[in-house]
Amino acid sequence: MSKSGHEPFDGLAALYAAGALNKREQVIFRAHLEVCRGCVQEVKSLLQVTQGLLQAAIPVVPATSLRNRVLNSTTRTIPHAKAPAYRKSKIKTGQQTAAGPPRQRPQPTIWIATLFVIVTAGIAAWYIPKLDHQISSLQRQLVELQSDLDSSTRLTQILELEIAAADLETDELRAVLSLLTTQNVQQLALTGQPRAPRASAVVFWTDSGDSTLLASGLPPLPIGDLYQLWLGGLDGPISAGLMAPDEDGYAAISLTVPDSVTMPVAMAITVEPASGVTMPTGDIYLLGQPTP
Amino acid sequence: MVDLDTLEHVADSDPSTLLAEAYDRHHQAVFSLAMMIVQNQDDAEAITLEVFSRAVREEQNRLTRHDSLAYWLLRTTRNQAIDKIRSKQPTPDSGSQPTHQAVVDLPIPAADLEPTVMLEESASKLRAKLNDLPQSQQEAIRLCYFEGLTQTQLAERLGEPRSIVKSRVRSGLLTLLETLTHE
Ligand SMILES: [Zn+2]
Repeated sequence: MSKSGHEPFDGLAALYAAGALNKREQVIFRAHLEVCRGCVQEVKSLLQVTQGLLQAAIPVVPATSLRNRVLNSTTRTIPHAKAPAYRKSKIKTGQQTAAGPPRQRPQPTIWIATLFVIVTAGIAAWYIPKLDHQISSLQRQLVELQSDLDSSTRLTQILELEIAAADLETDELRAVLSLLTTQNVQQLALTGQPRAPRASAVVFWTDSGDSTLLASGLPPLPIGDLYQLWLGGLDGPISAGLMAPDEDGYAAISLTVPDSVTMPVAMAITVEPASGVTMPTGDIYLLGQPTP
Repeated sequence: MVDLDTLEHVADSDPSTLLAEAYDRHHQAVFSLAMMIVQNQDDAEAITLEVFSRAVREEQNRLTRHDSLAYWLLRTTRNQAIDKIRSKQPTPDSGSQPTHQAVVDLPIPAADLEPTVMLEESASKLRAKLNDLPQSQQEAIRLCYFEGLTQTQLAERLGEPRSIVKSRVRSGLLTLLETLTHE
């Protein structure tokens, strides 16, 4: 990933590790993690700190009676089944996942179908291959690890990866669904202009001011440039954020909608220097107009 | 690191024995974190009870994997504790956000970042370093990490642009990282 591709995500690794990104921002940032080695390294380093912080409270000993309360109350809920066994012999190579409790993971085809039922217009259709790609990339890693199973380290890695994959799937799905099914969510489509005929984008916003842009089919940028989104304000265009597409032409950003702007307004995406500009200078790549 | 023989051995153990072991090993960390966030013994005990109950109900397979369990317990404790303080807070009068938002969970570490349980010595170094950070960085980290504010809420609360709060969190965490890597 070029330096310019990282720019809009600068500093987000720390917020991500500290749990300070909202669900939607997490989804967007995770998509960036797929393509930015620098951010992956920073998240890995900072996760050591944030994991450590959970253990950094001043040690306090609870009342001894708490032990009995915990054991008594939870014993009633413990199922009789044995704890799941992670036995080496149960691990197979190939598509099957490592031994362990069966994870209730919906098959991609099923949850894609669910999405389509909910999102009738197929607004999310572009995003599904993206999610699918992330999940299948984790699945690929699983398969690679499973083909080399000579150490307990590998086993641990597989288990963690499986958990990450399952969590990613449900989190991502939930985030997309919650975005698209939020009550009062409104949207405006932007269509590709002659400079980017295959590009399309949708801006979603809610009454509370949350707003997200999801774009696909964006042409790669010249080094040193970024896409900049503009909202039509009363006194001219107002910048609503910078973004870089990933290798597949997808981009997503949370928008900053100034109080002075009452959605919906006309929106445009131009290509500008990576530092951003205060007024558009480049060609318009996508354009959206509210219906009168 | 997980030892296969140990795993096969514990796999045959009784879940209540596993729970007792898990409680003995992790209850102090769970309770201390809950106390740090909610500052109230009754609430912290209720949270500890709830977190271990959830571990048994939902995460039985983790009971045999202590490092992974520790991180799960502490993440869940953080979320429950933040929920608790939020439920006690008066309705924000800004009106710009829902009164009770779900706590955003911490990221799940990936394969090559198996969470590890820190030694008390390292934990206390980290605690000391957190207290030594410039006030503005400390506050930003505490608000997002221990009160669950997102960057937007953090910027609103502190009355600073997002870029400023973002760099405070980052600088603070990087300083704390030095403590861990210079051991
Ligand atoms: Zn990056």
